[in-house]
Amino acid sequence: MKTKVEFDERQQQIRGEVFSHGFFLAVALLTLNAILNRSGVEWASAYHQNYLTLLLLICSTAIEAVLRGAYFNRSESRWPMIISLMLIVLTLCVFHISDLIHGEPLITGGMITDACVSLVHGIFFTALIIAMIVKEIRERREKSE
Amino acid sequence: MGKNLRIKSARAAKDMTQKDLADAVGVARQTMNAIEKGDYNPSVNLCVAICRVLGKTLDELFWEEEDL
Repeated sequence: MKTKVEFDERQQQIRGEVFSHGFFLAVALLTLNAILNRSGVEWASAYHQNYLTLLLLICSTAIEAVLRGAYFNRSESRWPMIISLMLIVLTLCVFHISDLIHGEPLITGGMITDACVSLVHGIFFTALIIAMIVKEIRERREKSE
Repeated sequence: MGKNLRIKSARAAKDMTQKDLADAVGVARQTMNAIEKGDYNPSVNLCVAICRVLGKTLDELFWEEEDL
C-alpha cells in the first residue's frame, strides 16, 4: 500500500484553481469597493467594508472548494463541520434577533450597522452549509452507484 | 472524456472497491471516482500505480482508440 499524502494530485489541482479564482475575485471586490468609495457611495464604515469584503471572499472561495470536491481532511463525512457551522449560525441568529428586539436598525444614514453585519454573517454561513449538504448528498449518490 | 469502464471492470475483477483501490495507490476515494467517471485526467505516475495494482498495462486501462 502506498503512503497516503494529505492532499493528492487532484486535490492540489482543485485547490490551485480555487485559490487562483479567489485571488482574482479579491482584486475585483477591492476594485469595486474603491470605485464605490471614489464615487461617494459609502455603504459601510471602513472597518465593515474591509471585513465584509474579506468575508465574502472567504465564503465564496470556500463554497467553490466544497462544490468542486476539496476536503479539509481525509474524513469521508462532512457532518461534523456542517453541525459546527449550524451552531455558529444559530448563535448569530440569536444575536440578530436580540438586536432586532432592541430596535437596532439594519441601515443608518445609508450605511449598514452592526445588526446588519450579523445578518450578513448568517447568510454567508447558511450558504456554506447548503453547499456542504448538497455536496454530501451528491457524494452519497456516487457511492451508492 | 467518457467514463473509464475498463478501470471499473478491472477493479471489480479483483474484488476491490473504489476505496480499496484509492488506498492502494495513495489517493482519495473521490479522486478514483472522478477518474472512473472521466472527470479527471490522472498523471502518468498515478496511471502506472493503478495499472500495477490492477495487474494491467497502460494500454489496457487508458489507451483510447480514435475513430478515424
